[in-house]
Amino acid sequence: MKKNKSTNNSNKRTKELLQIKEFVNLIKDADITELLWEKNGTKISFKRGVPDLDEEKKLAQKGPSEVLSETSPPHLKTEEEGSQRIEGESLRFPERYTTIKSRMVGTFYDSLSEDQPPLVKVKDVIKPGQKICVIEAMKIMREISADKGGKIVKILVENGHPVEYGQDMFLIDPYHEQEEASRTPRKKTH
Amino acid sequence: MFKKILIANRGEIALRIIRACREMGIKTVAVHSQADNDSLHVKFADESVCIGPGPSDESYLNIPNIISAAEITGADAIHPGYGFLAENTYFAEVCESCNITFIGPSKEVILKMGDKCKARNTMEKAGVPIIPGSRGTISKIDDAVKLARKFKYPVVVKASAGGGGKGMRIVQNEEGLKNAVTICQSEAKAAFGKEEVYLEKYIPEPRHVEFQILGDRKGNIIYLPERDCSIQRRHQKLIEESPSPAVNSKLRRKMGHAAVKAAKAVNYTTVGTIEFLLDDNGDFYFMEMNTRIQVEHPVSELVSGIDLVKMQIRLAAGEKLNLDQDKIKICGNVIECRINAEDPDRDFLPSSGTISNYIVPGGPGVRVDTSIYPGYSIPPFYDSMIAKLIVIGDNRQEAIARMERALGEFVIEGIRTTIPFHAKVMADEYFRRGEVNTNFIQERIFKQG
Repeated sequence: MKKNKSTNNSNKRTKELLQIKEFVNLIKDADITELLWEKNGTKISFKRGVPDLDEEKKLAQKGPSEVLSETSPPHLKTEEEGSQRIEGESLRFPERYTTIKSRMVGTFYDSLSEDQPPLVKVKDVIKPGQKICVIEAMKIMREISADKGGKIVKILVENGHPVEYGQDMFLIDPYHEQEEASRTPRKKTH
Repeated sequence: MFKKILIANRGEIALRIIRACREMGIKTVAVHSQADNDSLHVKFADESVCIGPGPSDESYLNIPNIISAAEITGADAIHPGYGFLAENTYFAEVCESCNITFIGPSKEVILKMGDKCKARNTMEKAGVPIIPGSRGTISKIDDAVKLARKFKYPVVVKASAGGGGKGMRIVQNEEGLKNAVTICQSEAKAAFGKEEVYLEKYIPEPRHVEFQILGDRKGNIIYLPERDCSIQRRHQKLIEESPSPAVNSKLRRKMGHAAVKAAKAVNYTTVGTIEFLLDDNGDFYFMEMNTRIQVEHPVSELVSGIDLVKMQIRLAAGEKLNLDQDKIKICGNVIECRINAEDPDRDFLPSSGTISNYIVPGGPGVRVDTSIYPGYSIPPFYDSMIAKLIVIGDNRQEAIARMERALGEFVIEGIRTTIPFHAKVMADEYFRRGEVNTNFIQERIFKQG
């Protein structure tokens, strides 16, 4: 395993993040589905095919025996858990990706009106509170604001299509800036 | 006829409606909370829409999301089932304004029957017997004494602002009445800030006997054989049967006609239920009307051979009632036990969890309406009823024997259920003789220990 020491970024968080990235790459390349790493009281567990970041953290806190016995039943997920199970999408997105979900039932529109351009596009960097789409419910058009910021990786609903409560609408990369920073030095190591 | 019906409910009733729709060639839309992602009504419907998180007030009671779900799926009618929005006038109104048929009565009818005082007045005007009582509040003791003589003792003094048995006094004679009025007034003032009390005739140990009625838009209304729902715990029905052991054909006709009169008084155009209290003398009194399909509707379906849910859908679509009162028959004796996820040994404490082992009873004359399955986790947000076990026999003895047999076959493991409690009731000699009233559980089952 190559240690990514080339980064001079003193930001601890970024360091940790890079370390986690290494683990993710390791899992990706090796033909394993699970990895448990423990050092100085910090436990990190990775599992492929269970794309729930917070769930992973919780499992890691429980200890290895419980992690191994976890059989991933079809369980309930609340908004806060930040599920990354994206309907109709294969799960090849990095673990850090998150989604903006619909909090209501209605019809999804990407612009304020037909003759206007979409409110946001893929690769746009959005801020929390920014208008991102319109949902029509009971003949009323409601402008929907982002509840989190980041770079839009993918828009998961087609214009004019229905959305249900809790449905993923936007795939968001919340750490796009850090990623940009980390990409440059990493190129040098390869 | 409707092309697509959205079912604004969950559990066994949602499944029951989906089944009726499938047989009628009507497409279905299930709405569900996030806690019900894996429920059968979602699996069996043609389409499903998640309308909110687990708690009912954010999902099954979320009118905007339910209406939106109907709009995005193109449903032309909404069936509310029972509970949740079934008797919500605002919901019925919103459906109407969105051009979606609400499968149930109009908002005016729900309003008229939902208010107990209004309903009582309507019934009195229509000539339906109501429990004799003072029309308004009583201020003078002399008035109370006069009324009580007219009603005959025992009578009950109730606080106008009270409810659920609070501020209530049952009195047997004039002496008691004078005291009760004074005490009730001061108690009512202390508890509710108003000292207004009223007087009603007290019906000791009544039976709860109700009539299923069906009406169409042409003004045709019929009744089905009664359901005896006397076996209750804290005003929650546990066991229902039809016909009632206390009702003969003459009384059935008399009560049935009163039920039809009650329904006609509000121009009732769908399925509904008129509830009566029946005393030992065969006198009966209007209690309330339920303007929806009821939990215990399968009892009437088995006893009459009529599919009430299909009828309800047809009537909502404007079809004529094609049933003749004279042709309504009693096909046998029917008993229903409501199986709840409750621990009867721990004061019926709700018992949630995952169903590990599950065996459904079957064989002749057995029907089970449920939405549980092995591996199903009971969410903590909703009603504890998980199944209805209904049997029909050639006579009451056979129905009881069949129910005992079916309860014995029924295996639900992983949670506690009321199955053993029902077995105890079936074995009770008073129950077997048909001697039950609304105090039965308290007097017979609990006191036995």
